[in-house]
Amino acid sequence: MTDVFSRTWLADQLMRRAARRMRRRHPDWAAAMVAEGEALVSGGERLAWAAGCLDASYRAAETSEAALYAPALLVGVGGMILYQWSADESLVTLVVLALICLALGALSPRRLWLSALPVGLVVAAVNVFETLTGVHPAYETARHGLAHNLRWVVLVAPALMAVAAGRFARSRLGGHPLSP
Amino acid sequence: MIRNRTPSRQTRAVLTALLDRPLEWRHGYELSKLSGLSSGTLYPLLIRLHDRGLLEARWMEPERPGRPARHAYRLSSAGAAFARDLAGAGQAGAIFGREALA
Repeated sequence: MTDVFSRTWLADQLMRRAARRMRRRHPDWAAAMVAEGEALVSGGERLAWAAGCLDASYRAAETSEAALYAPALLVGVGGMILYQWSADESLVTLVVLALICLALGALSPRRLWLSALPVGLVVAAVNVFETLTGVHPAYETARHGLAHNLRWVVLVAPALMAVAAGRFARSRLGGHPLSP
Repeated sequence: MIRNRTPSRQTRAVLTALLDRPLEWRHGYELSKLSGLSSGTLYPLLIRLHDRGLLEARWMEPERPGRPARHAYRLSSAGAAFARDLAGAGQAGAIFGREALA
């Protein structure tokens, strides 16, 4: 008897979470999932149904995010490249990088490394490109070696921090996939 | 650019289950059993089918008092035509765009 109650209780908890997530984009479907779960009498079936609904709620959120994420990442990396090619203000570079990563973190909290790595590596990549090809922007007067340019990979660290901050901000606003 | 995509095996399973008795309204759990799909796979598919106008959905009063109302589904006329084409030729997925029935 206790087992049945615990399954039902767990099913209700999972369903509540699934419904909360699904409600943001598909309120009718959230209600449909809940109603269907409530119609099931068996604790085991109800639990399996609720677990699947939780999965569905994550998939629905990911589908919506995925459509926006790739263009956003391209715009972010492109923006960093353009800025890096047009100016060389370290502090401003850091601010631009942080803003882009913050936005990406808020848009897609699960893609921490995927957001931070490409944006964080842009400065190093552009500098290495200049060194290897000899092509460089007009403002660039000093020439640096490969090792010097590669040190800019350190910008991955602030990029990671900014993405994490974006993720945190989203969780505070209630849209984080990992939020309770 | 729009990329064409053939419906997945799971989508076919749902369409086949719905096409079996196209005028009948079916509940999610029943569809899950008929198609062999978990609710985690079924609902995203139902949402996409509905968004594409291939599926009708409505709330149905409970059969017995005290039971909750349930959401029920059946193919729209466009959905039935699509499912029949798919069952017949297996080529109908080509008319769909990239965000269609994955």
